[in-house]
Amino acid sequence: MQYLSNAEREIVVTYLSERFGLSPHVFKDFVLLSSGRKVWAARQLAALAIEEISLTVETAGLPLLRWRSGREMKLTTAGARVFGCHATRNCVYVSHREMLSLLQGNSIEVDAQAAADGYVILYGDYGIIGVSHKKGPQVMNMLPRARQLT
Amino acid sequence: MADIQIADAWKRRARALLGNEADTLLHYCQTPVQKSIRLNTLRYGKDHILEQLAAAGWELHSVPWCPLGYWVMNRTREDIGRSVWHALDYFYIQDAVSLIPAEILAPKTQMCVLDMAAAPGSKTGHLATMMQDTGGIVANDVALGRLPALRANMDKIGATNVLVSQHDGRAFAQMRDAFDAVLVDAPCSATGTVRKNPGVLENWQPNQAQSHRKIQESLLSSAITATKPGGFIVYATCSLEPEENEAVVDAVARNNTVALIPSHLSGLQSRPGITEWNNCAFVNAMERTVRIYPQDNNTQGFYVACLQKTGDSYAISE
Repeated sequence: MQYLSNAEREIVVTYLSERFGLSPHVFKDFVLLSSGRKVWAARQLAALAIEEISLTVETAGLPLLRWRSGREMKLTTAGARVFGCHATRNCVYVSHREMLSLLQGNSIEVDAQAAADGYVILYGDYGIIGVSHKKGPQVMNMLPRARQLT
Repeated sequence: MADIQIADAWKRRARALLGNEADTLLHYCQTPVQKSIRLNTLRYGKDHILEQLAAAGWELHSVPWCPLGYWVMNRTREDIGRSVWHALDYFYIQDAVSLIPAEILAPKTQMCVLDMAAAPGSKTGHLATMMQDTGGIVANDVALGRLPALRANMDKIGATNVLVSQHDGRAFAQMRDAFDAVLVDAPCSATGTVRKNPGVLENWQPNQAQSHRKIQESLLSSAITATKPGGFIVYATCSLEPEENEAVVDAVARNNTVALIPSHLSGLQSRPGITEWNNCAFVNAMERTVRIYPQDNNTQGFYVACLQKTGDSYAISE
């Protein structure tokens, strides 16, 4: 795993700010690292402690987003569930029935004109569900299988 | 009641450990264990989780020794692991007995903690929750194939303070005085899990109790070295065999600067560790360690010892 450079961190934080209204302040206590196509968010103190003892780690913190097709960023389900509560835009409310449909692996249609096409955070009465790609009323199911009802 | 086969050699051992009470132990070994969960308070408030689950008809009874632990009392409903609430990360399914080690280690916020044999991450997640996702936890496991489950379970609870590593636990002996607290959930013969793994005692032979002993002693020694002076080490197994429990702790404690600390939790019925087995005497302080038989709390069998690194010369505190 490698720390993101300041420039890379700026790209990530700016994307999350512009797309979801997540304030850069939300990430002030986190270091961002990359591994393959994933960007991870880890508590600064955790990362510092491990640096002190020179331990090689496989992963640090939580997968925050992943690069898709090499150029497009997608917030992960785990990232949305932890940081999504701070989001102020491109969040789509889904009803209980729609939530069940999503958790069963289906794509849904929503009436959410306030949200721009692209990646959106889905939430319901019981919390944040995850991230999907919205195009018009169509919301593609992007929940990992492990997060679905089996 | 299940029809679980238990080897005669293990029945004799149960009698040697418990006398007439062995029949009660053997009876409990034949009954399935009650399902339990740990609330995920990193994602939701405790009251909110309990309200939602109650409104959905889930009957929960508090596990006395863990504020986040609850037994699921509904026997006729579908599996709670297939519910919406599980999919939304409201809780983690975890055996009530495996809630004990983290409660005894009782890590504080901002600590640096090592979980030496962490996969699949039940206890790591518990530690992260108790630390309120602060400080840092190294969740280590030697088996590469077990890391994806560990990683997925950390994502599920939303922990950002966990660093996953894949090293032989013995390698941590090179990191002297690095951690505030260390959990060693040691590999073992798992005889305490018979209520979930019915085959574990079917062909049991006495030599199985010795098969993990060398690695158990090495891991515990390594853990002590890696702990800061004054820090705590919890050694736990899901085995009832003295060779994997008291004998290991005794051998390691005699060669390290540690004190055995009483390992009792409020609401947990337990027995003191034994001080003699097969003509071998252990230090008297072994009574401060804890044996949990299935009949004590209607759980699986378990053993826990808590040690404090004293930094003194080679002497065990009695």
